[in-house]
Amino acid sequence: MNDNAQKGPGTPILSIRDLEVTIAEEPETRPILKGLQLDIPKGQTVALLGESGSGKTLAAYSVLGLLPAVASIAKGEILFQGKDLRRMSEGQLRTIRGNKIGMVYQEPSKSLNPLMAVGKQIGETLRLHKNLGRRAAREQVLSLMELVGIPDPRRRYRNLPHQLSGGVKQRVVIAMALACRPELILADEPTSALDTTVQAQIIDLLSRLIHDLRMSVFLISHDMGVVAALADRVAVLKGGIVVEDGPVKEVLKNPAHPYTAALLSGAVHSAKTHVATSVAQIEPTDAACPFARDCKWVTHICRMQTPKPILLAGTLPEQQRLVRCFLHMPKPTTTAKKS
Amino acid sequence: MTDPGKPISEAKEVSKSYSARVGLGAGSGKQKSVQAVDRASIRIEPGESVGLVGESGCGKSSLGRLLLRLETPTDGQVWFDGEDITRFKGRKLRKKRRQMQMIFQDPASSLNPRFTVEATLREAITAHKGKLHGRQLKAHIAALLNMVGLPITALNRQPHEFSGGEKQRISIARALAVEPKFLIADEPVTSLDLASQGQILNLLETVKRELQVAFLFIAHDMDTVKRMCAKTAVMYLGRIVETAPSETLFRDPKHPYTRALMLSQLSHNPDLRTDLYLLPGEPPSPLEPPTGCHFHPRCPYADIQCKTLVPEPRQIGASHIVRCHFNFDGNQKSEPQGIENTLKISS
Repeated sequence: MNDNAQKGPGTPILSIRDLEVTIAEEPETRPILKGLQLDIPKGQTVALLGESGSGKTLAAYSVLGLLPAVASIAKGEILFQGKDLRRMSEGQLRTIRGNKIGMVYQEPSKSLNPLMAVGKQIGETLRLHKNLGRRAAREQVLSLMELVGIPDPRRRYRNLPHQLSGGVKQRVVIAMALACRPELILADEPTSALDTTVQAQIIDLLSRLIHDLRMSVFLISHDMGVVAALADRVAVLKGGIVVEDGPVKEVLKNPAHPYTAALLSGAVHSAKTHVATSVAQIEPTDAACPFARDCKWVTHICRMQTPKPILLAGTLPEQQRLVRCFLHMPKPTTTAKKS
Repeated sequence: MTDPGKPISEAKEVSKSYSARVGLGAGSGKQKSVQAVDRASIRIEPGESVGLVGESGCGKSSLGRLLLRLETPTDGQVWFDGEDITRFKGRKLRKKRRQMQMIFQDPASSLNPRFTVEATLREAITAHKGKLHGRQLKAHIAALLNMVGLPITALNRQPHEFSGGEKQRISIARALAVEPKFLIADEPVTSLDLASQGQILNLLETVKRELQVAFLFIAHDMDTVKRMCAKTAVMYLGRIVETAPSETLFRDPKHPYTRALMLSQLSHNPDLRTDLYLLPGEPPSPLEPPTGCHFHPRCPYADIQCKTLVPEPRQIGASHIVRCHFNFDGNQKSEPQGIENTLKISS
């Protein structure tokens, strides 16, 4: 899959290769990400879609070098503009975080300092990374606040976070992420903490910014609606591996992996969701397909192993889809004839 | 309005206000009254499912708690099964509670972590039904587990041994233990992953069908309500702004807020991504509610009377009630009603 990605237009801005992350849990370590592969081409929004506990937030923290103490990277590469972030020192990483990679987190009230005026917080990144003076930073902050649609920026500049509504706070967080004109935005559940009508506003803002600033975005979400609204490509994460990867229009409309299909049908509550039987015939092994337990198409081999990514034909390289499911395995006879 | 029979649960113009201290520090700050529920009326017929939707903080959970009389209303009446229970207390209230139960959003925090499933169910049964013994109790518990789709081996296990979806099955079993006539499910699937959501909704549908229990579904997700409920009420900042049969409400919403709420739902179809409707502003704080119609600062149609005059509930169709000064037909706004009253009453 790396080879295919490389043939695309230019090097991806971010490329996660075979990433394994484990969590130390007495008495042993438990693998969470088991060889994650993901490319984010320049100017595209790629979503990592997964349910809670799938490890998607750990993937984001790995990129930023902010894994919690219990988690560690066992192997893999995280290439940002071709350079491995894992080989960088903490000092080098600091010049990247907030500067070349901007972050938008789920809960705006948790990512803002409650005791500092929001204008100053947005300006902090500019003063630190761009060495701007107080006045120059202030001017840029005001134009950023305007860019993200905060009404009356001059007045809001001096507000403390608690004086702002949830939606405005999230706009402040977005302004902070954009402040240094980063090469990549990492957005972890950017609208999950917001109410429906406010979520719609923030989605609209993000999609305008993505378009106008030609941003590259690593979007992490469990919400199919958010992914459908913002992403160009989507990678579906289940049990620490990407089970399906492709253009969002293809994957969401015509899912290839049974897990993606189940997610989609669950999302529309079609009532067809397969109810798992309480006892599986064979206990799935560690190498089993992560969806083997709940899959209605499950076969014997699914409980033993997961196939390598299978390429589904697409006319253009960017339309290519990958799926890790035996259902899409080419029939042995056809392969034999080809070779 | 024709009377379709005796409702199982009904709120008649019920209000609830809390007092809150505004400001920092203990003992300081101003005392302010927060109107959590403002003259809300809702009725649930026996065996019927009613949905209650709205954004966080709109008072939907408070209204649910009032219906169960977990709270006492400051004004209005709460009826249950033909009796006014607004002022019921103590034993008399507990007796009624046997017939109404609640399923909470987060099963992890609503189950006793030290109780086995058996202990949880036994407690619910004995607390409300009096002591059952031996075989009778066992049979009852087994039937409950069977109903919610848990194996009998679950009995000796504790909540932490179950997944989120299974925990929610346990809390449903607990709610059903007393054979209630009325159940309130407060965001029953919000904390669950997608696959379990589907399963729990299926289970609740089965419960509804087989046990003929009346349901109030409190949710912020329109899809859930559309699927589960015959009737839906929409709440905004303490007031019910629209009530209608779900089929009507989702096809032809009349209140501008209901429309906005529906059009703000993100579609799962990437081709429809440009169709998002944007409502300006955010839900106001209940500490400083807008004058007149609470929705007027965000409403694209608001005019002077909306700022001054609280709209009263109006019946506009079969079981279709809307709290808006205007009549909407398609996207057209017709002549506002009752403009002459604006000068007489102001609020």
